Amino acid sequence: MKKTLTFLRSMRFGLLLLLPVLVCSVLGSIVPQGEAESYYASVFPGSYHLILGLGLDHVFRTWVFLALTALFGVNLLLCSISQYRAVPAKKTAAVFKALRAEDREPLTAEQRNALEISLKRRFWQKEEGETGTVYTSPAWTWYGSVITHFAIFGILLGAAGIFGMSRTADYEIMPGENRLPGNVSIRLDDFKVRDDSGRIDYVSTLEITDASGRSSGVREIRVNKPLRFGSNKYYQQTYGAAGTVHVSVKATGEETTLFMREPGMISAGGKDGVWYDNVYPGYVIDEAGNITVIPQTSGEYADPVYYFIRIENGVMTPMMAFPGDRVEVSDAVYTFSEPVHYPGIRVKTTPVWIYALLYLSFAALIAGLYLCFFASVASVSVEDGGWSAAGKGSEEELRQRINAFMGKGI
Amino acid sequence: MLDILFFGTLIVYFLAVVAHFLALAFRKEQIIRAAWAVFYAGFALNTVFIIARGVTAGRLPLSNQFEFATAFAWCIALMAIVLHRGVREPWIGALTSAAAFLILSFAALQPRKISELMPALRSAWFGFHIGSAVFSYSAFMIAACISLRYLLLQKSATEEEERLSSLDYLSYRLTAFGFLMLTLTILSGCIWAEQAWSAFWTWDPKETWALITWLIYAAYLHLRLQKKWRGKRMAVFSLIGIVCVLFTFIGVNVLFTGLHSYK
Repeated sequence: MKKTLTFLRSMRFGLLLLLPVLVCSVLGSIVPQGEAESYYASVFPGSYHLILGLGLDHVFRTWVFLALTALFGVNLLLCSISQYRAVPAKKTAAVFKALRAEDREPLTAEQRNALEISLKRRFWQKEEGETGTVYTSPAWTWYGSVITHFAIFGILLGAAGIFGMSRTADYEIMPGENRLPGNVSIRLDDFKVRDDSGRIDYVSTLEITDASGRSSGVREIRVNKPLRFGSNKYYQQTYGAAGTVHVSVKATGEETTLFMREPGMISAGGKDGVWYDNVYPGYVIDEAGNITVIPQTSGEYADPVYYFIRIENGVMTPMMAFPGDRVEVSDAVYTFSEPVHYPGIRVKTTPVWIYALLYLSFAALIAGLYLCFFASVASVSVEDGGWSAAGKGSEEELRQRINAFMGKGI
Repeated sequence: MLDILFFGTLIVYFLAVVAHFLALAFRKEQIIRAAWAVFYAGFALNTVFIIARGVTAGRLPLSNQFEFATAFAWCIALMAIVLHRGVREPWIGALTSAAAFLILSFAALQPRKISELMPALRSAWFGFHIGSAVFSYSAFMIAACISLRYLLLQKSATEEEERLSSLDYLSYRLTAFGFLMLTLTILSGCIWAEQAWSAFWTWDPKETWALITWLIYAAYLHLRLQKKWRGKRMAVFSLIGIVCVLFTFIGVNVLFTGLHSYK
């Protein structure tokens, strides 16, 4: 049992675990993640069976990767506990080693004075022993490695919390529309793809009302500026353009405006009509007069062009239209207008303790690393004529640090 | 004007490389001083270029490969100059000026057009996240230069142990600094990503390779501090690390697409 625990907390085990984690990470960066099976079949025709079979299409969610990460977490936790328990002994050993050192660095009275002032200024604790004076770095400096390891464990725990408890849902909302995700209502007042200064920005003006009727008030969300309300966070995630098609039925005089976000049949009588395919943000016309559509853009749809299929008496005719164009099919007139931009709002629910744990762990990691690499962790025995130090780092490192305390350069 | 400044910097860095290698060949104090003077001039031009571009763009010039590479070269020069004040080794100038020149040459191959900052980049974290990455990469680069020098020196049997040990220590200190900066880069990126994209981590190729780089340097530091590895093995590790850094910087953008593909 003891041997197993020793192995589980060892650095060797940690490094052994990191190797397959690295391999998985490399594979996960080479193979695009989370695509449809047909994508892998077309991009990796020779090896897509292997990719799908081994789960390389979602490598960071495979049980192998999750198990490796969990084991790494165990390794970190055990290692952190073991290091925490070893700190007092390390500190005592450093004090004794510094006091009993036979080879001492030479020290003039002036240098001794400078060193002692410097150590006191750094809050090193002074102890007078029988064999001399010893200064020890502050207690917290000895815990750098422990803090670092616990912080990484905290981050892994937070990541596990997000994996298991965080929920996201995406909603496409048209301006003026009211959507109800769960028992919350989102009313979108406005959506803009440019801010007031004319720069591209995606700004949704919305109001959220929770189940108890509490309102967020009218608020703006944009990229980098989500809204936290209740236990949810609302993000300006994506945007799109809905084709606007006005249908006028001649026989009845009935008129309807449709906002088309997806392909679909628009028909007055159920048989003839137009099969709406898409609206594209722009197009280019080459010298021969051929039109090529621009499939994607950032910002608004500057020169929108509609693509649709006219269906009449079983005859299908692919067509393009620009805003303002009218198409007459049987007894209805279909008028294409400027598309309407709408946002994709992401609603995320994550327990607050996960945020707290992650932010605390982030701060602890930075503090821990600083202590590990930049704080002096040692005991220095100071006597007339010489000093000696013991602690973290090699003799050379300690010598350089103590010399730096006395104002000597490296 | 900006182009003149940029290519002026590139030429002066090139002259600094030539001057430093001449200094290494002839080992004359005057040539060494002249080489450093040219390097200082290159650094000054690089600084002026970055400021001018920032003023023209109306933002921090760190938003694409070109701007990052320019800042990367500048930071290598800055660190080399700071290092030169404490460590008087002529080869530091030769290797670091060569590194700055090569990175700036890579920048010269990138589109230089100043573009509007995309909405996702308009954040208070922008300067901190990318700035810490610049410092991190530069520290790793200089650590690798020192490791390369270590490997070249340790082949010669006459080289004194103390000098080698000092190089080894210097490389380690720079790696530790780079590691802290890389950690800041990754963590600030996580916080920023949560604000912009709703997730702390998305396994985007850039993120994944930043993590791979972090893990490699974490292994380096563990082996040094816990297993007391020193010298040749650490120097080789440092060179593996810089290959990974350069792949994260260049390779990922060239080979993969993802959320960090700001083209």
